[in-house]
Amino acid sequence: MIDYASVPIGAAGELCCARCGAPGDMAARDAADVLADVSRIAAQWTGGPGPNVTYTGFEPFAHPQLPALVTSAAQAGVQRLRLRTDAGALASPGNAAGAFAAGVRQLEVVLLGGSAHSHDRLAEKPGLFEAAAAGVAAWRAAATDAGDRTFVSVRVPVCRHNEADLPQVAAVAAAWRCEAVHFVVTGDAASEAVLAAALETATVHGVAAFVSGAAVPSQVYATSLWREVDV
Amino acid sequence: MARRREALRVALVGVNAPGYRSLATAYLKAAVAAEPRLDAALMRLDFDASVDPWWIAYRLLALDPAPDVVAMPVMCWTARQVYEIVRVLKQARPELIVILGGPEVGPIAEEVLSAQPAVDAVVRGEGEVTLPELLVALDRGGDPCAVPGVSARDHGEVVSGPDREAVSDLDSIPSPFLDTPWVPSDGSAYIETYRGCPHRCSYCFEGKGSTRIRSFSWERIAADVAAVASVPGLRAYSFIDPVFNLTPDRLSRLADICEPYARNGIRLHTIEVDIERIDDVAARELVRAGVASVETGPQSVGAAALSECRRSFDADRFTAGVEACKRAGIAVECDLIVGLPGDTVDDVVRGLEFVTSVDPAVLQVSTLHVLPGTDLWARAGELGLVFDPEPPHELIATRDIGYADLRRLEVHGVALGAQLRAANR
Repeated sequence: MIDYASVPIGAAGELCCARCGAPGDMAARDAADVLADVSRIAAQWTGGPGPNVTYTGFEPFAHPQLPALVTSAAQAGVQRLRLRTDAGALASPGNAAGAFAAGVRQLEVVLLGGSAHSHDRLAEKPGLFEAAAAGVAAWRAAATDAGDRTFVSVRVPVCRHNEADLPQVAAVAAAWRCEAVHFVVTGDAASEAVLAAALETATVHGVAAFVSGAAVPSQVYATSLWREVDV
Repeated sequence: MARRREALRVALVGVNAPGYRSLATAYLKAAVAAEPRLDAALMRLDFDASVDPWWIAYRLLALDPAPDVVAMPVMCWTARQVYEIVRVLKQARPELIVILGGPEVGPIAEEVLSAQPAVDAVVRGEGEVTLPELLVALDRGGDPCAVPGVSARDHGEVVSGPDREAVSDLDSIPSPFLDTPWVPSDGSAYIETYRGCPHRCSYCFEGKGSTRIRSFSWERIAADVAAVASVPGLRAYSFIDPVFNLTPDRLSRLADICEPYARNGIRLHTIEVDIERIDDVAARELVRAGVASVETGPQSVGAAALSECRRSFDADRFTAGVEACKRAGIAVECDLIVGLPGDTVDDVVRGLEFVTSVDPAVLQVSTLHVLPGTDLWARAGELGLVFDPEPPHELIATRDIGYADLRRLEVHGVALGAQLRAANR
């Protein structure tokens, strides 16, 4: 529905299931290179709402040049800047309010499991789940303080290690007052029954849910709220 | 309902969405006050619909002196609360006369009287003439059932008087703005310049089955606008006209009237427009009037639903209208209704995709409510619409979309709207 250009701000630094394999050497991308991409995207954007950009590939709050990446994107004319994040650092003082004040309105929180036990285990980062919960709450508070709107979605990379936990992940997205949850399925990682349970859990809590990469029980669940455009 | 010797004490009570104040009770108060045959003590009270109905009843029962009559306009959104309020009132004070009116109850007056024993009378259609006449009848021991436009009880039987024609000369209706100081609600206020609607959308009660337009005179409109827009502290106001840009000529005259106040920074918000008839010239007129935001359809993009609902839609003209508004700095709110007869899931999804493509400032997605008095209400069985008989009459299923997908689409649409709005400003 709404296009977002995925702009990597680094490599191998995005939260993923550690059990599925090591992502490789982590490296942040230089801000100048990122902003060259963003400026090109903004200049070439045609039709529909936008330009919109998602910073991917690296935990944004671990990027040493995040403030420059955010402010420059706004200056380049980006209408919606979305940060794909594990949300753990948002609870640190100033981070949520600072990012909001700089112009970020949308977060895509990566969630691997529906409990501290499962999420932290798959992320191999003890304490991350609780930190993410606090981080999303801090983000909401920053939006409320600023009197402005925000949109928080949950991205769930589905693998055989978290398949059974998907309904609980949807429940967590609702508990964290997220607006949407996106299940990203690769291969045959999830059964249709479990996916259906997760999707219905989201719906009955008022959270929009959709799936990419697998069959779903309703056309609505196959309808993306956004489309990721690689550049 | 016996003849009275003292002034009839009438409480006009509005139950409104938070931040709103009932325009209906304001009109009715002015109309009753202007009735020369009636010696009435009038009070007007407004409550937020978020307030517990028992507390509203408490407030009304605590009035001293107690009212003889409580009259309440009813919308589908407030009907459940109103019914609860009057049930408590009637239990506490059986001699109290309860009169309801408005779009939720007027078209189904006899059903409401049968189902709601606490209600004594229902005003059908516009109330500015009917309610004063009904109050005169009540005050003089007359027969309420004989009053045109009234349904009431006669020895336990529900009886309807003859229908009343809609008021032809709207200027004959006393202005709610001119005689008493107008107090804006949350810094804003509402005005109407005409009644009726040029469209006959089958889900809407606005035109009441007719495309007849009845307008206030330009002198009256100018006086009402002046009375409202000159109130200290007013920041914005709005018109409840179904189509603000009814004709280019009318739009231009409205802009002439509103422009002096727009120059003082008073803005018009959420004006309903026919977006397909807005070009750069019309957009400039809207700006001249002070319009900051407009609300429009398309409600649906599906051919079958558009035909069933008697609506037209041209994607190119719609997009051009939105673009013209944006160029003029006017925010556009687009509305979609989920569950119109004839629409499939695919049609609704295409509708969401279309409105997203024009990048509105606001996307409002709501499930169909089958409203009393509308064509859809009358033809629900034929069209396969299953809806809650209790207000607000929300849709449960259609022939083409089941209950589960309706809920999914609604959640999906609301999230899409939130995503659109979460943008840099």
